[in-house]
Amino acid sequence: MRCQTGLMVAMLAVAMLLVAVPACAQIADQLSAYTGANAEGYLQPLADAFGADLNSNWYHSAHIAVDGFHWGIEFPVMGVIFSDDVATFDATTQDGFTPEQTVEAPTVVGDGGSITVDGDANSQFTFPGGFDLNSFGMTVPQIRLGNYMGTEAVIRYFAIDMGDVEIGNIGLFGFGVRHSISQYMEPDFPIDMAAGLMYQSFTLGDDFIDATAFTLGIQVSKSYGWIEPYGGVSYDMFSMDVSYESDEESVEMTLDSESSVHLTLGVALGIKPVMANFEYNLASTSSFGFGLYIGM
Amino acid sequence: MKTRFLIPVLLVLLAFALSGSDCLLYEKVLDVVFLHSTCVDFEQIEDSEEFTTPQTVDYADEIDGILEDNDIEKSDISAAHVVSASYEVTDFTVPATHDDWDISGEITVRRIDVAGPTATIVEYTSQSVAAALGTRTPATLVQQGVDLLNDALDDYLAGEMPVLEFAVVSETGDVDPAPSPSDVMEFDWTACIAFHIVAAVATDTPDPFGGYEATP
Repeated sequence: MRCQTGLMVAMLAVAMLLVAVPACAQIADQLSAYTGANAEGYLQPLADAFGADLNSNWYHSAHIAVDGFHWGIEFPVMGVIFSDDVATFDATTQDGFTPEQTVEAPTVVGDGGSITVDGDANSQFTFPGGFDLNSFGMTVPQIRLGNYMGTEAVIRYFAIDMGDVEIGNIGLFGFGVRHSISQYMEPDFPIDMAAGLMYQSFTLGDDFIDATAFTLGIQVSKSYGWIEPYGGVSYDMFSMDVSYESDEESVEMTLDSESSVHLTLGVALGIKPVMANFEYNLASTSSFGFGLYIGM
Repeated sequence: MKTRFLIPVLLVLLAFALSGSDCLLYEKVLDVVFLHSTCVDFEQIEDSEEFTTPQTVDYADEIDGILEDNDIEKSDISAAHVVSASYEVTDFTVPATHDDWDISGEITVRRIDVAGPTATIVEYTSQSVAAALGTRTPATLVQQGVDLLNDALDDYLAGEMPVLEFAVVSETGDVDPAPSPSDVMEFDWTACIAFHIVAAVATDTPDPFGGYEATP
């Protein structure tokens, strides 16, 4: 039963990553009509959501035993629901189109319809449509290993060769470390407390997307048997390099999400070896998460 | 016992949360815009300021290539239109007695697959050849030529196979100093017409929480 459960969730995790790949190929096509600020404005909501997802749901408790062998196989799911205000951006005509005009055009998550403006001598410029997305979600298998002097490691990893699919390979690697703070407190200290950091690297295609995320923060939790509320404050950073072709010319750009303070509130439920969690992350791009965990 | 009970409950919760609107993938129809430039190379070796340099472009063949490269059917195209024009000098032989040529003139276009008028598509005035070397320079579009090209795009969508002839036209007074057999004007340049092809494409897009309201 336990094995089947893990397999089902693993298949779900893989499926979520795989279904995103054909859409990424289409995004590359859409971007080909844009360069510079237009390309950044078009893609920024997705970059923000991706950064928010990567930097969340990597812990579900602040309790870290001082020593002893502990392990966990985890399947965290992270999601962002897009608000209407990220559905458009101020896009400006480019490629020598005259006269220059700025309009409210769809971002990658905006409406699917294009917008066309008229220019000199009956020329026209068309701003591409978005993907009409309401949400962005991702999951990646995660392993938790420890403990040595109140320290544990968290590893996220996923890689697959997509073969003949246009966009190519997809891969994510993350490594984090957390250390128990509460071990230095008095034995009657009422809550568990830990500090940790995590670095993640994501690649899609040979060069299409190359993203890195980093988060550093402190966490607290309090166990009440089968229920354990937890929270945390962290500082997040995210950067995404995108490379694509526009009119047979290579375009490279870097999207930096706003580095921000990130507040997490969540609850873990269950009794080991099986637990689940639900959390909400308040940040420059807010997100939510939930997951299923097996381990001791 | 508790654990055995908990596993299906958690799975149901997970599945419920993931299936906010039945599934992970939604078919979305979006307008995809393809930017393409039709470029024509001209080689000018002129001993007079009056010359015409024609070049033929199989317009239908170029658009077919764009569609094939992007896996788009002609029936998917909802619009196609001219965006802008530019030119760039790619090779310049500096004359012996002076540093540059100052050129004015026009580039004309006409259909050669069907009978029709010749129209000016680009005009340029007092353009330094040396200044345009290696620099993509925006060109002034002329409406008659743009209309001819837009009509050719429409005809392509209607099933015709337009073939175009672009020509550089220079007349008396258009080149300073005037070229002569002892002072030959020699340079290569490329003129490009950028256009957009807009296609309505249905794509399966992951929207895992498609049924929920925005995160505040």
